[in-house]
Amino acid sequence: MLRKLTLLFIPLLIAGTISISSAEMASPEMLTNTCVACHGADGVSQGPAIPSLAGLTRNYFVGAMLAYKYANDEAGLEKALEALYKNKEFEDAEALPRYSTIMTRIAAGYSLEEIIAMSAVFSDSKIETPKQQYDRSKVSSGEELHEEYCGNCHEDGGLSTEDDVGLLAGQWTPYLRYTLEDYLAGRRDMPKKMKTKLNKVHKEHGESGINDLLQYYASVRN
Amino acid sequence: MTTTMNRRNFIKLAASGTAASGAIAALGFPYLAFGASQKVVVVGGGAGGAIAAKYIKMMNEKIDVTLVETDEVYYTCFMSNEVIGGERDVSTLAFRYDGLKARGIKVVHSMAQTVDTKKKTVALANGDHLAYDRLVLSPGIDFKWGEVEGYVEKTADIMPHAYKAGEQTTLLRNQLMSMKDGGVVIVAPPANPFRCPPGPYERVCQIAHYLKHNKPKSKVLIIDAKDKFSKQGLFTQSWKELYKGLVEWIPGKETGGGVVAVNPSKMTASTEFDDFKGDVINLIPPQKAGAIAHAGGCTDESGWCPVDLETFESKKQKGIYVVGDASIATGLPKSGYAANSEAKICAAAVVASLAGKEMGIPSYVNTCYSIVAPNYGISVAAVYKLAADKSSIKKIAGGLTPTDASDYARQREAQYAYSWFANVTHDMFS
Repeated sequence: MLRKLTLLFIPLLIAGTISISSAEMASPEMLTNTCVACHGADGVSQGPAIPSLAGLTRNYFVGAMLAYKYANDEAGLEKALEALYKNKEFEDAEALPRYSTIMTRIAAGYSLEEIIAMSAVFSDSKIETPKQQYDRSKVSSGEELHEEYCGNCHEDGGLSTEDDVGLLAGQWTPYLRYTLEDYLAGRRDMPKKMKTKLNKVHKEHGESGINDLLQYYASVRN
Repeated sequence: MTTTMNRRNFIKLAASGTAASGAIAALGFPYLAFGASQKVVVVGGGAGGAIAAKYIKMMNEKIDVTLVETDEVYYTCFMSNEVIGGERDVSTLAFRYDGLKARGIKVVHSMAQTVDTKKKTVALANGDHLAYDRLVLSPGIDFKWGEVEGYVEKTADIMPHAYKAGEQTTLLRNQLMSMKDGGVVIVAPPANPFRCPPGPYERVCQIAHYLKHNKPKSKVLIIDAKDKFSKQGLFTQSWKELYKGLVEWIPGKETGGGVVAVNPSKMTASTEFDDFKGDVINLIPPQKAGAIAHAGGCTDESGWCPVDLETFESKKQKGIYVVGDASIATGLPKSGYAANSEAKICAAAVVASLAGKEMGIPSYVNTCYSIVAPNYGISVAAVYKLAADKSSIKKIAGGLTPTDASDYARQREAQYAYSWFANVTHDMFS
């Protein structure tokens, strides 16, 4: 709880001191305009394999982009994080390694300052849950699994991104399926607590448990 | 101050709201004084024009935006190769302009024919003359009919180019379907520059995919004008892995530069040295900027439009901007995503210019997927910035799908391609 309050108030306290755009840099919208032709207008994806960016916290977005940008450069990542942490708003950001096909190639083209600027645009965009098909018979089982294993961190039925968690209920099922495959195959790193929980639900409930979770998230609407 | 007052300074002064109204009357910009809206006309409702119209309206809803587009139904070139390969219905490429109309953009379905740069009007085939303060041209490509001897406009009914989507796409598909097993399909890509550099080679994959499963004794023969092409390593790899014996590529150096003449009654395509007989011939002709860019005086001797790479304003005509395939966007490919990126930068430049402000710093991206087989996608992507001397758009980072990509990576890239299509068309038409 203390951490949540801190997150709420720190941006207010230091908002005036953070300059996210400079004369030498493209505007935040100019930068995010380059993303949205793939990731959807306002960061809301219309394509089921590509994630929505709307509503992701600034820490989450910056952490993900840095993980892509420095996928093959540990020293570079360390340096970038050191620079990032000087900005108190981002002191909780994490950049855990994540699998990608194309994003490593793209993220390398943006500076830390540009990534920070983009994060403000998407964190302000409204989450819109996609209207997608799901298996109604799996929803209640999925909801139970969510409450037992995931709901402590992924609040509001997986619709909340508070505390810099990934968006679950607002994403398309095919994208979430890729993500979970990557986690379980070891292609993408998880925070320690999540690793325990995801491995546990997978071990105890198998692929069908994972599928039930996905059906539940697909059923949530905002 | 009065001696140095140009239009830009003047608007700044007017905006500051002090002592401006008298000056407005004296200098005669009545639309400013009475708040009548500034007019932008956009010609061409494709990957560049639809985005330019939409983003100008989004950035300043007070601007009166009119989009001039010949067709009520637009067929995207993106994904049209899947129609040719039989993996997709042509109806999935069709889009209408209702979403843009709902944003308050006027959509006029007519052909823009001439531009009067003095009066600042565009004359349409329907007889209308549209006044503009800024004009954005995104006309795409026209073909250089006759440059390949014997290939004139009506030859495309027999040897489809299928390089503007819709009827031509369906025609090529139907020809493949009625071709006998054992037939030869000739694909003849042009020299650079041309629309969608990987397009002909993705098409070859799609045709080969269809032949492999339906007419395996047949063959695709690529008679190229060039010695190398986009995503070459990846395409060549897929031809070896998936389409062995089905695809043959003849580089330009072996034929003296590709197809120079066709004979539609004999169904032959001829190079400097040889005649090749095809059962289906897909001749992709040499290209130039769309007609209105020429009529508007925006083209140079190359047939394309030199532009300021920061704003996409024509280097030949003040107040006219050119985006998409028609422009010479030195450093960027002639791709749909590049057109999208250019149009957003152009929109910012147009809106800034109408407000008498400086254009911000541009940022460019290209992302291009090709589907070489079901569940097998490849891509090229790059992020660009304007070079310090503004003479080119410089690649900052980017690259291709690695040739040793795993099966699940290829499968994902195919799915990303479909989602790319969903998002880029939603960006254009909603």
